[in-house]
Amino acid sequence: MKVKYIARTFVAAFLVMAVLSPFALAATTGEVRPTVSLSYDIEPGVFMPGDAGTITVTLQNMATGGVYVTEDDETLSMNAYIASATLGGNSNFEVLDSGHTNVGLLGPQDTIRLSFNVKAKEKAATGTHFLNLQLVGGSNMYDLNYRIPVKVDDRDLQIILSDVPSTMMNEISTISVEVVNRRPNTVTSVIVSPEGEGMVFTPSEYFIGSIPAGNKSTATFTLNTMYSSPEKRDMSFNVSYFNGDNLRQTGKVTRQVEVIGQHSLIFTSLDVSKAGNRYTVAGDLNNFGTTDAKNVIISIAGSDKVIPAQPYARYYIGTLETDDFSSFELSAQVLSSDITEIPITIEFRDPNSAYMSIRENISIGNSINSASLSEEEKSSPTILWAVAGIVAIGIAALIYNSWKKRREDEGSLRPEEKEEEEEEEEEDEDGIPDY
Amino acid sequence: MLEVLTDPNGFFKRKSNEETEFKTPLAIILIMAIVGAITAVVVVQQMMGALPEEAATFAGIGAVVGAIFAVIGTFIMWGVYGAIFYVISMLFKGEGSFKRVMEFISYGFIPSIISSIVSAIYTSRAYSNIDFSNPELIQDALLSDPTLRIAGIVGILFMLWSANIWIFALVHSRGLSVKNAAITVGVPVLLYIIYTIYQLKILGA
Repeated sequence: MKVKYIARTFVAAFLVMAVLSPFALAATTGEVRPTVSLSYDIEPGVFMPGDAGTITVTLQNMATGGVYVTEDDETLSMNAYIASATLGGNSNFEVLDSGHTNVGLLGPQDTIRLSFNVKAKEKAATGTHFLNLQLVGGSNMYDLNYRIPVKVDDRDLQIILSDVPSTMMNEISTISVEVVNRRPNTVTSVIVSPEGEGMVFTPSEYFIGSIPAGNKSTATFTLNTMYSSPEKRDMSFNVSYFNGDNLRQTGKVTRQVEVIGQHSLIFTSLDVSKAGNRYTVAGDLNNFGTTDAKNVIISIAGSDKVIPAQPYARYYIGTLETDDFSSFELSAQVLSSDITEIPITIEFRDPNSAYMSIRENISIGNSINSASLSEEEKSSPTILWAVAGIVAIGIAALIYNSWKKRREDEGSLRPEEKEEEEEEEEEDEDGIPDY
Repeated sequence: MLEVLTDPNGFFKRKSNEETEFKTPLAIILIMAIVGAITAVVVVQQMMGALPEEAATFAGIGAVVGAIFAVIGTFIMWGVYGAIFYVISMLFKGEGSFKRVMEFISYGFIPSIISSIVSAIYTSRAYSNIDFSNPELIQDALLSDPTLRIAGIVGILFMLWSANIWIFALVHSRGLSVKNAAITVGVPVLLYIIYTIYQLKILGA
């Protein structure tokens, strides 16, 4: 922390000015008086409206030599006696302390620091304001009135989003936030806090420290939008800092970004080959994102119907730099024709070594046919049963008809024979509904 | 000839007054053999789709062999059915030549032609869903698929229809009573049906 040190030293040349004082006569007789110098220090260097601060006044007795000086056979004390020191407020500042009284004697070369707490009013105007310091001397020391200039400036820190894109993928990216100190004094403990629903910033807050007047500092965040659902989102930043001992917040800067549902690791040149129920998928994995993906490993996400097959159940790629690609090969056994896609898991670590996992599906061909078939197949057992039912009814009708015709043809048969026939009919027809 | 399907009694009654002729029976069996051969080829082709390329070459040979066996098998089956019915009907003192029996029972295979076509469709559907490269899973897959079971049931229905025709065929070729003819046909057919049910585990599954 660097506070602008304002030091104005002047010599309160009481003795020099003695000629102008009511004691001019005494001076002419050779009277010696203490010399006191005054300097001051203001914290913060420049106030913001509403800020509280401290003005420290340092008084030093500039006399050299002993406390008593013999001049013309007369012994004179070189101690400066300070009766009181008060600081006066004005329309822009209020002084929080009532002042110092009976400060005491200040020996030769001694210094004393007198602090005053002041507060800039909320409506304090920008500019330099003067606070009146009144020093009342005692004994042989004169009084002093001095105007201490105190600056007020309402300029705030500014946030500049220099490289935040308007569209983001489901990716890990880095973004930079520049914090500009437009104030004429140094600010301290600057912390940048990002915020965004469905986004993860690393670090969650960034500590910059001090920013000198007229300078800027950059905070870099890793932004994770891997699992953000595709929609427009607001990303906002604010900065907290100290001006002196006063905690300040800048206004929130908001930027709208659109997250699109596309992972930054993209498959291309996919070649799916089939041998029986074993599918082999070969292709390239491309890093379309803006950051490197470390420890990339691709694997078949097994399920009841998809079983990862060795030796390519998993494929290790390693680091996939941005704008780079790597070939891979995976194989799996697919146990059902309903399966049209093989689920793939891509695992990697982001630039902060955080574990990430994404799921992609690779179509295994004939997807259009399979898709339409699978829809059809869901209802097919019902249709097939219905067809079987119709066939059963048709056959039963034909059999019944054949026996009916026989009865008609042989209507003149003997009764015993008829009975026999009917028995047979029943036997036969009974058999049909059973199945 | 379609009269045999709607009025087998009248048809065989009329036929029994005519000379034995084998043109139509042979034509029926031949058609059935061809349909059987086509079915075999279709099924093998379906299997080929699921097999690795190297195995598919052998499957091509398999298709041809399957077709040949289907043709020969049909004729053998005709003879076997004729022989069984002839022998059983002997117990009931059936009268009539073996030739006549063979002629008449061939008409009973007409429903089987339709049955073959239907089951070819069903079977090919079922087989298209199965992966043949993993033998352990074939049986499970086949049994879990309702298509094959439905195909089995449809097959049984057509078999009953054939049996109905055979009853009249035997009544007129061997001069049996309807009851005896029904027993003659019923016993082997019932055994066949029980075997089919057992094989497909239709009731158990």
